[in-house]
Amino acid sequence: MINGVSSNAWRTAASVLLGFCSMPVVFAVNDVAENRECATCHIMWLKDFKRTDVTTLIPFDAKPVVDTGKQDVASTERMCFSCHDGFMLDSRQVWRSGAHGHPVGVKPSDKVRIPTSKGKTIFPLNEDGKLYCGTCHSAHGVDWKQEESPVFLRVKNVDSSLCFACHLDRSTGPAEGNHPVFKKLANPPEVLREHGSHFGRGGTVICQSCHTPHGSTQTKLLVMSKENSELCGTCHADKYRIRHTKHDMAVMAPEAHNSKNQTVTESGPCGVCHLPHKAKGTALWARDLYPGVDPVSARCLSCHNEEGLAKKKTVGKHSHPINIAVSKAGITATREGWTSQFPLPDARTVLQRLPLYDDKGMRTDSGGKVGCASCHDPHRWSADDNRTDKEKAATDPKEIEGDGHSSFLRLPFDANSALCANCHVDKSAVQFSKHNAAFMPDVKSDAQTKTASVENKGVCATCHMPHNAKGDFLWARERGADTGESGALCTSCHRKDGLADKKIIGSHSHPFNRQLASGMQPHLPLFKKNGDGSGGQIECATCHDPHQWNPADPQNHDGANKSVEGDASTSFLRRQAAGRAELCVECHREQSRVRGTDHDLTVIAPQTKNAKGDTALQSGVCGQCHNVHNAEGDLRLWARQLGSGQDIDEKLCRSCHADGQVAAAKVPPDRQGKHPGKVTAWSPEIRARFNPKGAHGIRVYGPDGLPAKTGVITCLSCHNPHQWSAKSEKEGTGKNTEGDVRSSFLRVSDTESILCADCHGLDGLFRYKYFHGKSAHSDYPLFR
Amino acid sequence: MRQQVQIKNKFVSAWRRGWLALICGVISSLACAEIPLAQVHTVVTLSEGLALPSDVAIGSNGRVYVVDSGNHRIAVFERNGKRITTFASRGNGPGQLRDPVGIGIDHAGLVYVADKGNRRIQIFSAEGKFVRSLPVKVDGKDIAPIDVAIDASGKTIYVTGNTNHKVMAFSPTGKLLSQWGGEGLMRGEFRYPATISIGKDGRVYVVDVLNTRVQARDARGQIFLISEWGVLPGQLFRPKGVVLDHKGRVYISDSYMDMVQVFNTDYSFAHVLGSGDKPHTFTSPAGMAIDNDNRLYVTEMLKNRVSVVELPP
Repeated sequence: MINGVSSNAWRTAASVLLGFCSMPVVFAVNDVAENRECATCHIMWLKDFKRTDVTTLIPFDAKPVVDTGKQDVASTERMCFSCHDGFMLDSRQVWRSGAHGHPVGVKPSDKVRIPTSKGKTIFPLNEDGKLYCGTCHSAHGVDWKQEESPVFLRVKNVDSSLCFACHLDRSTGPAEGNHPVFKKLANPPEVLREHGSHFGRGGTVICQSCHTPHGSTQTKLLVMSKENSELCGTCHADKYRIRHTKHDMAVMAPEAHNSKNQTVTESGPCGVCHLPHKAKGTALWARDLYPGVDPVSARCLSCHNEEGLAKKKTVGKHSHPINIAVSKAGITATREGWTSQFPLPDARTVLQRLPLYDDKGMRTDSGGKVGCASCHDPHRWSADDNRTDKEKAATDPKEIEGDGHSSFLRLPFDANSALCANCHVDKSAVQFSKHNAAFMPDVKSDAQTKTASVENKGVCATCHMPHNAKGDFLWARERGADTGESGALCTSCHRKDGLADKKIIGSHSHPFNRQLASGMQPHLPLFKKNGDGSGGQIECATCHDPHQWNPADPQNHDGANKSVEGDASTSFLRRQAAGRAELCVECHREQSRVRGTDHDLTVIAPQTKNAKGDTALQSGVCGQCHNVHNAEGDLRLWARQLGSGQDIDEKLCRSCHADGQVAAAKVPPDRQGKHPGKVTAWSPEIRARFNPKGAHGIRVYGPDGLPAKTGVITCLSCHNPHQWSAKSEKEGTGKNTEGDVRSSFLRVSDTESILCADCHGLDGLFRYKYFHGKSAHSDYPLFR
Repeated sequence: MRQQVQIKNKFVSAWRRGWLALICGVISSLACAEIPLAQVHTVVTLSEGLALPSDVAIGSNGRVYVVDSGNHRIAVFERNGKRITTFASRGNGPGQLRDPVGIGIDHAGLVYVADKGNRRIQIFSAEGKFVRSLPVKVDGKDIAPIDVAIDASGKTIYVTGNTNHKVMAFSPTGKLLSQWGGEGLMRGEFRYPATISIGKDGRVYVVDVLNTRVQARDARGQIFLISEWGVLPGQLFRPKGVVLDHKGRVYISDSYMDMVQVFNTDYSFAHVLGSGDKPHTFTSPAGMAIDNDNRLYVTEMLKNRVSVVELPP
């Protein structure tokens, strides 16, 4: 039905009356065109609204009360939409059902500070003092010719400059607990752009990278959902692997709250630990930091403590050190990569660059200290993407237990302990040694190693545990009976019924767990009982490096063999005991002069064998006469079959200086036994008090074969078997040399004031010179 | 004497002006008395799942196809308002849409969607199965389409271009047959051409949004202007939708003034669709369609619905 003229009489009458008054307006009807561009938005400026002779299609209302309050009609939401509905410009996402926009119709909160200029706010509020579209937008603001920023804004919004004008406290960066801004992204994710995200000049992160002032379907005006932290995961895809792991609190602890008291549902799984704004400390931490530790640990321990969310996964009293410089392990860390001062056990190995941290807990490329997150990537359950239990981990992380291939480790704690070896290069050769349980002949099961399987936790785990270890050195096993700090570790296995019960040191072994004799200054580790290694007593680990099968050649993999047997070249010795016995001479420097002399069997009889059957070349210069472990007896750890003699020392010497032995050509005649069996003599030290020139090292020896105040004159009284000539404190020439009174391993070369002269006067010279002569002991009257 | 004459002349002049004013007053009072209204009432609304519906078309099967632009898809309804199905989704792949606006259906029932964000026309079967895609490209430039309409023969596909302010005619194979318009105020020029309807005589009716008019173009290229800028009955402020009824009358929706105005076949103003003594309010009305039962379907973007009113015969 089409209506005719209204019958509403009063309206008609009023219109007629008003018509008289409005005549001048009548003639101005067509003038609207000149204001048309303005009236595109300022509709109420149309003069037809002032006419009384017509009825406009909509009523005049210059400042209507709308949802946002009382304001100019030109800046009402409806006016904006009339152009931005997709038919002209397209801002439909702003009005999409359920969409969120920047708050309007509210008074600015105390969280924002609207800048002012000359006493006026740059961003005006409406008649009610509330935010409205026109607070930020104006057709008269940004110059339409500029291309940096959207038009219709009051000021340019380049790199979120408009946002920061009010929200300055959100732009301060990580140091103040805010997400970084102006940081360049190499490849801003396209999916973000599709969701309305914008990036700054050069692809930098700005406010609009995460937030959109209009059309967000999410809370906080986010461009993507935070329910499952999809937004975070878009840029931080490498961190988003946390989903469905044991660190996904949405699965593991849905009741968890962050420092803003948000539940996981409210914050998203990322938000349990990180807040984009107003976070605590570094890494945008969203939890209460654990007190009294370094910043990195403080984050991890905020859950991994006795009362925390992860109270079942604490690190224990004995845990891998943190907050120490990686350089202490010989690593030089730079932006380009890591290098080690030690040779790599496998030349193909490339050290991985692991995260290091500065004193504030921020990651640093160069230098830096080790933190929990150096070894652990809290966002990735396993570095092995081909894990067989990956699916299980993804579906039921509560049920799965970590191992050396998972547990958020950045590198596998695998059979070769790649993770450990990345820093501990000097120890990584253990994988190619018999200290790798894989090459221990008799180790077959976990029960024997008493740790988790080698395959699952790696070679290092046989002896060490990074967390919850049983003591110092992160020891993973029951300590042995030895009282030394390192010995206690060694004897965990090297004991009767131990894993290495075939490799125990026997009753007669090199002294250990004692202070070194004065003057010994080896370049070898010494130990205190507290195990700090800073000088002190000799222990197993003084001579042995349990991680290095072959000290001369770290890249030698011969130890990686169940059937291989160690010798003086290998056997985890820190220096070679074979050949020139570099290991022995670290301490026994005076004895090193034996090298190259006639007592160096590697020179004069390289194929001769000691009691263990080792040739001189195998055993080394020392090893032909001395056994460090499992010697025949304690005295000088003698390594050869004893010869005949009147005292023990003579028996040692006659091991070789006997018919049929290697020194058969140098067999002194048997002593006639006429010299008194016992001689009381001052020690060289006492003698030196009275006659410094006579302080020769001639001693008498007791029944135990050791120097004594009263004892026999025996071979060692006159001979120093380790030095060819008393005049020359040097090694030998390496040639078989005929001796004379100046050499022949004699302790003295001048005979003044020698011990013999105490009794024999000047005849002592002859007694000394002709000691081995048949008549030397009996033909002279004085002697008689 | 002269003074008397002058006074008399002034009196006569004033008398005449008074009468003139009286006559004008009467005329104007008659004009302002009422907005011509044609009573309508909503018979059904289509709303299930809709977000910012921007256009609507009636299929040859009688079903109602709505551009559910906020969800980047097409929603299909029974004429009683029951939603049957939806098809397409957000994306740029075959059969996907990004920020679609207009819709048209050809005589064979194929559904053409102006896939504005992807600069193409997506064609679906009546059941929503993707058929093919037509790129909207002129002189090598991709053009964002706003609406699409197909002539009765099915041989010409008319598309309005948001970025070139033109109307383009394509063959079914996508060949550009002709184009007219360009940004401007003059007759035949456009500032944001929007929806299109085609009359039984082949005239192409295009909403010229910012020029606040509808331009009709006949087969010979002659341009007819319908309505003008303003807020008086018969004038437009933000026209968006245009559709013709079976009598050839032109219906134009105004998305700011929230009403639909009707123009006669000679393009003179006829009336406003009304309820009681006021214009019937459609909230931000945009694309429209009229079915064979003379029911007008009006998309109400901000109400997330399509209102159906029965038109007067």
